[in-house]
Amino acid sequence: MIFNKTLIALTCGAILIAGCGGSSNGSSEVVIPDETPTTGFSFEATEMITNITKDVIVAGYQNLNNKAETFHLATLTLLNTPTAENLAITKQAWQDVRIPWEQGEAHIFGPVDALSIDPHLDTWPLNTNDLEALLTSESGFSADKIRTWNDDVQGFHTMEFLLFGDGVTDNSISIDEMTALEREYLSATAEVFRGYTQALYDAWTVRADANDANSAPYQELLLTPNNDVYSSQLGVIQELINGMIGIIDEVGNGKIAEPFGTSINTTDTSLVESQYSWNSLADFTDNIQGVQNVYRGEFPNQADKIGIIDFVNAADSNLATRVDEEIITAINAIKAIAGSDNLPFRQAINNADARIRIQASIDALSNLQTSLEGEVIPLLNQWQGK
Amino acid sequence: MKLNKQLCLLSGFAFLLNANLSIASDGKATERKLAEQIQHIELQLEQLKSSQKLTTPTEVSTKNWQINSYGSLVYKSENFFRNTQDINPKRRAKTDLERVVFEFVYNFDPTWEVEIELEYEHGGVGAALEYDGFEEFGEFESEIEAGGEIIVEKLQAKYTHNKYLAIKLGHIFVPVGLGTNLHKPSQYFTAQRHWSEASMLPQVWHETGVNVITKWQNFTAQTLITTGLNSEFFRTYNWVSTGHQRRFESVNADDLAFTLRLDYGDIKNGTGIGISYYNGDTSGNRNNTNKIDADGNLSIIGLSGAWRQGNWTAIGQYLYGELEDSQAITLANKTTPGLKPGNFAQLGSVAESAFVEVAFNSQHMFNLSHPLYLFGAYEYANPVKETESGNAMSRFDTQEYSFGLNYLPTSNLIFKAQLAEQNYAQQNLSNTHSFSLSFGYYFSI
Repeated sequence: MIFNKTLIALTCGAILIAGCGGSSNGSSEVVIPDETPTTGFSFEATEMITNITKDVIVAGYQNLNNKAETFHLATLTLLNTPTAENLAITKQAWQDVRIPWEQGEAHIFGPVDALSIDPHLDTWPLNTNDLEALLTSESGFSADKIRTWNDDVQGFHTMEFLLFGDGVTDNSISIDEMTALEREYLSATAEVFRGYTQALYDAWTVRADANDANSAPYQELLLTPNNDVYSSQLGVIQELINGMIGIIDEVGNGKIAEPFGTSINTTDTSLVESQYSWNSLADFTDNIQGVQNVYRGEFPNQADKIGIIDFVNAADSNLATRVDEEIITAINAIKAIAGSDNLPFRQAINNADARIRIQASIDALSNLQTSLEGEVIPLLNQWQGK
Repeated sequence: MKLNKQLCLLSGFAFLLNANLSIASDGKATERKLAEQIQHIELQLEQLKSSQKLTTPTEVSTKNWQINSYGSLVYKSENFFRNTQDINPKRRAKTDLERVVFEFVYNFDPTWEVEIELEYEHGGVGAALEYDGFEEFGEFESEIEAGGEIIVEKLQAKYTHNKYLAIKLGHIFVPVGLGTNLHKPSQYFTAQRHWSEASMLPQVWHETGVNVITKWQNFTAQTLITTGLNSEFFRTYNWVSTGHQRRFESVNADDLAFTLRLDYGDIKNGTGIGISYYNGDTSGNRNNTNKIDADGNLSIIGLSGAWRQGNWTAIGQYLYGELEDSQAITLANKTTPGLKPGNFAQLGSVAESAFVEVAFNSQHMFNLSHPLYLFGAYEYANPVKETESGNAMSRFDTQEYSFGLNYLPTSNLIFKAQLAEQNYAQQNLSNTHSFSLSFGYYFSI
């Protein structure tokens, strides 16, 4: 060891001498780099993390769970009393439960990922072949039965297909077109669905691991970092910002750009999500609304609370405002795709005028993603409260 | 040994004919006839030599070590479906450096031998998956470095007591499915190994355990106790084959499996028939033990055979498997944190597969100096033949008819071409077609 130390000391000495000798301006001063960063800002993150965790994420999952229950009850009413009015109520309930789910996609981390809740609830594309085979071969459906089947014959899009039809020419079916077996399948799937939204809510609020009585609720991991998942508040904020980037990327480069294609000749309607109900544009809007919820720290029309915007503002107030405006621009661009004819997305990709509006929304999302990745993420390194 | 005797007899006969030729010179017709006979015999000799080299890699030698290598590379153009809703397939061509294998054998003495087999699959370095039970709800961590794998397929010590009894122990092959016996490129005629078998079993199945081999006359019985499979990784599309625990650094050995195989004749080198039976539980080897309260007993029966007569060769296999508690396993796999079986959790309680291939060596028909096999093959697999509850999805119920050729320019190289048609049980899927070329080698030093 002594030999090693001597060797290291000699090597360092040689490097220093060589470094000085190589100085071209003849100065004998050794420049010592300034170790304190030139930029930096302070921000007290506890209130922001608490607010986003409890009032945005957990409140969102609570809303999802409540709406899933309302939807399940609507499917039971439709099963027992098949009227046009009950069908309309159930369709509306499906669209209502879709909102908190799509908004929640701005933070797909933790139990929703670990417990595979996402594929259980929202697998796309749907396996219509198997679904139709099940409807012709089975004599009845129960939640227990459906739970063991593959994800592509249950969840949001199965229920959408049963309620709205195939979506090719319209997004409505009459109550006479719905068989008793289809209504039974719908209500059994809604029951399984409700089970998953409950499990998700419980994982955040009761126990992260349902099999372990000592397991803490997942929200505790965010609220009191310095645990196995988040070593510090920095890790929590990083997770939140990356969650926003993740969904912006998915909407811009996946959900919109994939069916859109490179030209009107390369569009692919089969890739349009929520194409049976023509709910696609509402889905995309809600996805970015979810980004705004996390960024601002509150849902629309709520009193101002601390959000990521305040973290960014502590470092750079211009950037904070610009990102907020870019989110609004993206939401408006997506809403504008429908145009004055109220075109659904699956038709819009094949309409020359609408394609210009679609491109504008892709560009708006791309701008937003660049700002978050290129300017907001680097702020984490400058934050002095980490 | 039988082959060697035939070789001696044929050589002797050829020598005699040559001797006779130098004396007799009566008439051109006789001469031509004799010349034809000689040519025919020479062809047979060449054929015999090459088949002997191909099928008996362990050549008689005074050295006590041996290094063998074989490998294969494939080009395939085929139709594929993008997702479960897609019924209009697209065509794609691809190549795969399927594998390069090295076998090292060392004989310490006439009774003890060690054999190691290393396989490089898809030309790369692989991924490792670890289960960390202390992380969150338990986490499967993976590190991916390239698209391939390096696998130690075999690390066995073999003790040969006498000609009736031998014992292998270590990381050994499980002799269920012909792929374990006939997996070198020259041992099957299709351009790639049989997909029907791979959609049900680990293809070239290796586990750690012990194999007692007993021989009597033409009968060979193998009795094995090995590590079993892990039901966490059973999936819809290939049944229990991905339950092979090779993805883990250490293999859970709480559930062991029992295999019995009885052969008559020699399938590997010619003509024979064999039956195999595999049985083992699969739940005990799960990493996350909270989700299931059932054994997940797995049993597989295999019937296989090979027949060689003159220029004709036929190889076939039928596999039938049953998985108990398949519904409980499905539910457990769907809800185990971090496992992410996605949309492929539902398992067949019964799975089935079969193949048969018949080949004809047309070498003498075309007056070639090297073997040219023309072959036809049929394959079938249905990993979800029955389910415990609900509809058995028909997406993976597939058959394939193919024909093609194998050419061996030297006894250690083989070039293959194959045209095939795939038929699907799912009614709205039309037939698809594929074209494959492959090349394989084998050598031993």
